[in-house]
Amino acid sequence: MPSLAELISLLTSGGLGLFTALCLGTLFGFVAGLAPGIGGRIGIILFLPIALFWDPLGGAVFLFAMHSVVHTSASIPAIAFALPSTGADAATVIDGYPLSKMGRAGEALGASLSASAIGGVVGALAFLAIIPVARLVLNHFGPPEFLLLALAGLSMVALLSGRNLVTGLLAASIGILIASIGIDVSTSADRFTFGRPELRSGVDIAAIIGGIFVVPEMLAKWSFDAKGRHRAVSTSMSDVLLGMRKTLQHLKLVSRSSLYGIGIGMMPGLGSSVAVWMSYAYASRTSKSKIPFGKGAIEGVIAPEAANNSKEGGAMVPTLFFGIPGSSSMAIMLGAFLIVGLPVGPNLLTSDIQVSYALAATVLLANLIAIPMFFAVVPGIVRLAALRREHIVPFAIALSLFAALYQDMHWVTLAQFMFASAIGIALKRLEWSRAALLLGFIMGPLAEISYIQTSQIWGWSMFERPASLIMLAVFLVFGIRAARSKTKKTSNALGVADGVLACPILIIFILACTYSISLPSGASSVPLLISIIGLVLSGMVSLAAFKMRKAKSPFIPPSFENLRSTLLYCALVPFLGLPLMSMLYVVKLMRKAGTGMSTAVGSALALGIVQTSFLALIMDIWAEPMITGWIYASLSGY
Amino acid sequence: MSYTWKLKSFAGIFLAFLLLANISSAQMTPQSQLANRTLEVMVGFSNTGGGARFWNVFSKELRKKLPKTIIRARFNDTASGVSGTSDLFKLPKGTLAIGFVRPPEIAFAQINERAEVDFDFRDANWISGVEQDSFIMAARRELPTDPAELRKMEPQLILPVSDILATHATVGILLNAVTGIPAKIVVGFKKSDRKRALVAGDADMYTIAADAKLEPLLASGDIQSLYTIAGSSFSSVVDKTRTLETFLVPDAPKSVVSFVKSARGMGRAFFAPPSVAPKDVQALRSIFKDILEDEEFVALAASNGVPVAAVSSQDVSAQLNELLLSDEASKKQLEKAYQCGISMARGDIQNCNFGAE
Repeated sequence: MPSLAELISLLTSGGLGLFTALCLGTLFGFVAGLAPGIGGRIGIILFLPIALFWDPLGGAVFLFAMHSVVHTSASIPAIAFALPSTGADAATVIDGYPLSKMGRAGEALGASLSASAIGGVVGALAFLAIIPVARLVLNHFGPPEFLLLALAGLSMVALLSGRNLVTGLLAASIGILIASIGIDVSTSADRFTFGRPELRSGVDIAAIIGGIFVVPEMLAKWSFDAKGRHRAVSTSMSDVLLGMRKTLQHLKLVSRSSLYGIGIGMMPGLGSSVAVWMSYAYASRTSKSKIPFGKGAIEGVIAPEAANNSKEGGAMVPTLFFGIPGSSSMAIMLGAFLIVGLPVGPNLLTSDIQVSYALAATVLLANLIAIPMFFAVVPGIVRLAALRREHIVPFAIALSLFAALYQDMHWVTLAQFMFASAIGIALKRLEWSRAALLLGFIMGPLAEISYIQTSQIWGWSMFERPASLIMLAVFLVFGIRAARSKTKKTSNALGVADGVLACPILIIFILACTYSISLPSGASSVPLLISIIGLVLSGMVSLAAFKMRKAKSPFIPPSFENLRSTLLYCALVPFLGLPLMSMLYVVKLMRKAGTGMSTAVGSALALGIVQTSFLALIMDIWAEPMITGWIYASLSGY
Repeated sequence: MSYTWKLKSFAGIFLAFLLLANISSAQMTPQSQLANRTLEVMVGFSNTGGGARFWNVFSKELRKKLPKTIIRARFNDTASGVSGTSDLFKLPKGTLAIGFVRPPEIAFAQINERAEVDFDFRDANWISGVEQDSFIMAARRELPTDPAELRKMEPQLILPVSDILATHATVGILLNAVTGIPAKIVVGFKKSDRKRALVAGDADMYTIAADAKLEPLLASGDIQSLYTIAGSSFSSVVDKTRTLETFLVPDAPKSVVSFVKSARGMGRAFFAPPSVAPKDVQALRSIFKDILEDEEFVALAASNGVPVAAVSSQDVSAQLNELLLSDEASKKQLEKAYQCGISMARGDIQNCNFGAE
């Protein structure tokens, strides 16, 4: 294991490139955490184009630094305004907000900041400590084990996310089917390309991520109580330091919570919320606090914050070494790594071990840098948390579309973005797991490749491998337990709307099934298998939903605003160009939200300048006329 | 004004014009030739592999050399760069564009008359090659080195490849045919995975550049060199007595063996499509030569894991012509060897009967 000095020198040697990426990543992570509705997952997508200013490692350092501290700053709106960015941050609200109301916001922020930092550092150290063990394990890993890991990861995520087991599995099947579009690597046959050469290299991952996550999230109506957002956060340095001292007084709780975070972070599919709530429950059981939990106990802030940041170290293990994302945000991170050009997998334990060390150093240092940055930057940017969400929406959508288009400025990419948005909106509306779809999309090819390799090299003799047998036993035990608990909890959770969505999906799977039969044998196995699975699952959902059509819907589906404006915006981009259309879109949405004309125009101009500058710096099209350049770029494929 | 005076004046003006034109053309540098124009670049590789890594390092240097030229790059690895190459060949006359590809993959697609090859790769204007490697067939340590023994091995030997269209896969299939060693081609192994699979014993052999990165593995005995394929700059840890020729079946067609050697010896290269004007091609050649022969750049590229060895445009062109097999008999032999290699990989047949034809 390298020393701290060696880790720091990894990021500082060879110029300031990596160190700048680290500092900027930390700063943007703060911004993403503070801005309402952005958070870690969407922040990665929105700031992805910035990562391209560096080489692949620099880009990865930027993204990891951002992701490492996003929960640190997300605790600020959670504590000050009771505004959690994610389910994981919600635990901080329970005791953080009462503390804030008691005038102890500074103390709560100090405790949260220091617990997050310690949790993050412990997570990074755990990741470093796991490297030798992972290397040892990897020596016994071949394609059969990767196949089992991919299947287990997929089913665990489908089982544990969303409100229903079957819809989760169905979403994962849709993801795998989308991933099978393109040239088949074993036979070079075209699959589901409909004669479009642009689809031969597969569906654009940035378009899928942006469409599935950003657009539905941004267009959904905001449900929190917005009262009190503009209340000033009264914090003094002494209050913050007092909070930090309180954290140090609870080191046992911090370390225990960090361990929860690391352990759960390593298990694909469990996600950050489980780690956070488990550590909160542990703290409430063991605390001797005079103030009851839920009324402003400082331990109720410390425990979830430590777990929230430490789980990143744990989640890095399956994500980086095995290509199996530990959570939905890590799935997005995995996609982002593909876009910046950093290959992950066993190579990060062997030939590219320095990359692993650099990323561990990033998590470690980003959490440490976060403390002085908090004092230096947060007083200035904390107002971001009080921004109205309606003002963020147009920027987030315009930036996510930009992130999708910058690599392949073609109308086919735009169509993919719109298609993914439509799927994302439908899934969000019915609360089907979008993370399961993304994981299916990312892990489907890995599962397919591992399946081909396993069947060609080992066949059934894969079950003679001790590593495979051990893994299979572990996954079966966990899988059955998870499935039973999930079935108990959500057996009545389907409504008529689920059936309405499942019907067209059923038709798509029937068509895919028919098409797959016509493919050459080597290319057809996975699309055919997944089409049959999807067909059965969508049939089950349709039947179950229509049987229960009289039952009251167990959830309140979110409705969507500005859908028509967004569709129009996307449709006109190829004709008027991205920067110009983005500016018009921002003005329209901000005016609708009640912003003054001058502010709306000013914001639109700022966005236009940012987009055009990015294009100039990354793609060198500065000198081309904006509109004609983009029409040419969008329609000609160059 | 007399007629003679007018004629003299006209001649004087004409001469002055010629002189000016001559001076201006003499001052025309490659940079000024390409200034204030957009250079479209089609990178025929994925954005995560070695091709992308090379382009990322190279493009920074290219931008420094051409500060007034807009360089717009797109990654398009569809069908190993064939789709992107096809797009480039359709560009209108005068468009400034280049492609960065691995020529053997496109040449092989052309020989096989695949549907997406709607161009003749011979029409490409070669700018420069960037690699020249020495290739070996690497094998796991316990594998016997006797060809006769290898031909009878049970279970079937495993040859890992990334995808079936990659050069190393095509070469592997052809090697099945010409060596008579029926290796099963298994897809989905990235470069690092192939090495790991060999060391772990999950795979048996594959073609690889015998570079500095491989040397420790060869020296430690974790991997052995079964035979050399192409190139000459092998280190002492490679047994140079075992060459491809010593592993060939007696009736192996020379044209196929020659194709294999050219395909494996030829690395990535830059070309300009026919739409690019000859003057622009010359300017590009000159600038690329400067960069690729710059010692600082070579060192920088090596530190980024992409060793550079410039190959002149003439050499690339000659190698490509050798690859494209102009005579029909050789093409037929190649096609036969490929189909036979595939059948051997599937375990359908044990050897090819080239002599029968």
